[in-house]
Amino acid sequence: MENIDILIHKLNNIIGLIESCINRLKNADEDALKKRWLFMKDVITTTGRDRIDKEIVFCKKLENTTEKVFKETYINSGDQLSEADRYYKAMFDLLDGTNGFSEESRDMTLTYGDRLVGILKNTINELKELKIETQ
Amino acid sequence: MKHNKNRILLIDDEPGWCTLLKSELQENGFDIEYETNAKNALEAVSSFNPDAVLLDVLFGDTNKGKSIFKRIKNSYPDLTVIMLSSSVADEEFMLEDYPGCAFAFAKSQLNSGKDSVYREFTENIKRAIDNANTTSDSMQEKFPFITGKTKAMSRVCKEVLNTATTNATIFITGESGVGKGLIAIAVKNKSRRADKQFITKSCADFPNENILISELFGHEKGAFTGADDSHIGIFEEAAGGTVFIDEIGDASLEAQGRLLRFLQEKTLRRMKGSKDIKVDVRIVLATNKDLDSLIKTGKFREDLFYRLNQYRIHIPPLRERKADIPDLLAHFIRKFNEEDDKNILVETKKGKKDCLRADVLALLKTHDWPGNVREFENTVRRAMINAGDSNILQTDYFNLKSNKERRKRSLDIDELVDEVFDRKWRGKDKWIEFTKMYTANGRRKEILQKCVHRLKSNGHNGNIRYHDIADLFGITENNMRQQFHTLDIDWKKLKKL
Repeated sequence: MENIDILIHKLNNIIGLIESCINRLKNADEDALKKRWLFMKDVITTTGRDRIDKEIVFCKKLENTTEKVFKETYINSGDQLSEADRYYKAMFDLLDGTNGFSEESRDMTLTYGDRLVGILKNTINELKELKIETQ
Repeated sequence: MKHNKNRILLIDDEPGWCTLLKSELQENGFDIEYETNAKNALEAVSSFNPDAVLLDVLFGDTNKGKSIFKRIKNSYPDLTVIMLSSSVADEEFMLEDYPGCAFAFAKSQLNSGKDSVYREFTENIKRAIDNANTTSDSMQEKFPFITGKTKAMSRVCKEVLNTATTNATIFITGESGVGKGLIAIAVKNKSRRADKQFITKSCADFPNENILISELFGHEKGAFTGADDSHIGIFEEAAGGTVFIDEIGDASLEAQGRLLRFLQEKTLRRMKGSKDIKVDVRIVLATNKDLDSLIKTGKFREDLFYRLNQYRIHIPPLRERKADIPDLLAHFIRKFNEEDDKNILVETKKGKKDCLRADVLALLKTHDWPGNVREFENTVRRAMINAGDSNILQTDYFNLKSNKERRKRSLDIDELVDEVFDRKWRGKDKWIEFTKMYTANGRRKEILQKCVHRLKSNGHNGNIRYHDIADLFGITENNMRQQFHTLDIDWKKLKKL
């Protein structure tokens, strides 16, 4: 597998985790809300606060090993991942630090989650474009 | 040790995914454990003793899933293994890389968070486990329409179960009358598309290439003469379900090319259409033709053949599984007792099949059954009618000609042509028997030429059409036209003679 495919795969993995959780929360009826909130808390805390950091490190590795022509894309991806990381950590801290469910916490979590997913999808699209250009 | 719940072992290096899937699958009635370290995979299988393993493809930066898969399959060949990928699960690709995996699943399908997606995923896991647990004893229960306990038929059933839960294109081969259509239905019934549309088309039914392409892919208004309206093809009509295309060996090269593109890209374009349409449909194809020889003569695309040949189920002819004849006889007697209100005995009160006379079974076993199970079925029905009020079948009731007798008969061509004109060789079974007795390299050409001469002398003069001669055998005009082409008979010249 090419490095670019690995990075896309890894980012898709993160999107899957976040998007599944936030959509489970969005789709929940009143009875299931608290359960889904705890479910999301469980998934995200198990995933770890440094989850996106790991991919930023991987991106840096690619920046330093790739040909000059692709370097810019990886630097750009790294910047976008840093922005995504801010939302991820904010979401993580909110879930990790809250004991009970509140509508306010849920709304903030969903906002962070949606922004985070949006940035990651954008990063993946740019990587896919680069992949097509290089083929 | 038997467990009430199905036990699933999830092997994925992403702890978040393990937590997510564990929680969701537990809610759907599974007992689930996970392992995040690839090195411990085999040990985890040994200690947890799962009914199925969900295995991620990528671990960290490497494709370790492949080596773990091989190790698991080497140690536990019958264990159900389902491959997980992040966003794409091209099953034909996955099945090539992971032979014997039950199916491939893209985790991105869960992103919508919808209950229905989780439900479908868990149902597919249950179906895959159920299929893998099928023993030869329970095979009959799962495939009530497949009669026979020979190894050959057990292999066919097992292949159906192994491939049914995937989305892979299945290619069924076997002579006419072996039951390819029933196997296609079995694939559909055991698949996740069981309750969706199932459409069957035979390429041999379409004399015109445009009509076949239009039937499969649809057309826009004005695509060809007579196309007054736009029309959707069966692939679009069956979206979400299964399409069974029979007699693929009869499809034109253009139709084959379009089919290959559709299998590769999963998008189609109607005839004279301007946009590509994405269609999710599972395709099962079948043929009774020898595709190798069609490839050699340039009538079948080699690339399509290789594509189809990846997942092939071959159904053996009846002459190669004669041990199944007692079961088949009992099955059809029961069937026609009910349908035709007959009372032929199959079993004694103690359940032994000793009402089937040994001389009858011996007679049926000496026959080669060129028309396979279909011919066998018709023969049994005729024998039951001949039996009248008797409730035991005797050899006299079977109007079977011995193979030796058939060979002897094949020498007398004029007598045969008489029979053809007496409509004694009419119908699909008879045509199959005819083509077996009189091969393309043998006397078939001579017989068909004589039939044309006989038609002329009967007053058709120069107005003989392919249809007239096809009608004698009860086959399609297109089929007869192909016969003349294959046998290299100059139709125009023959009509003038």
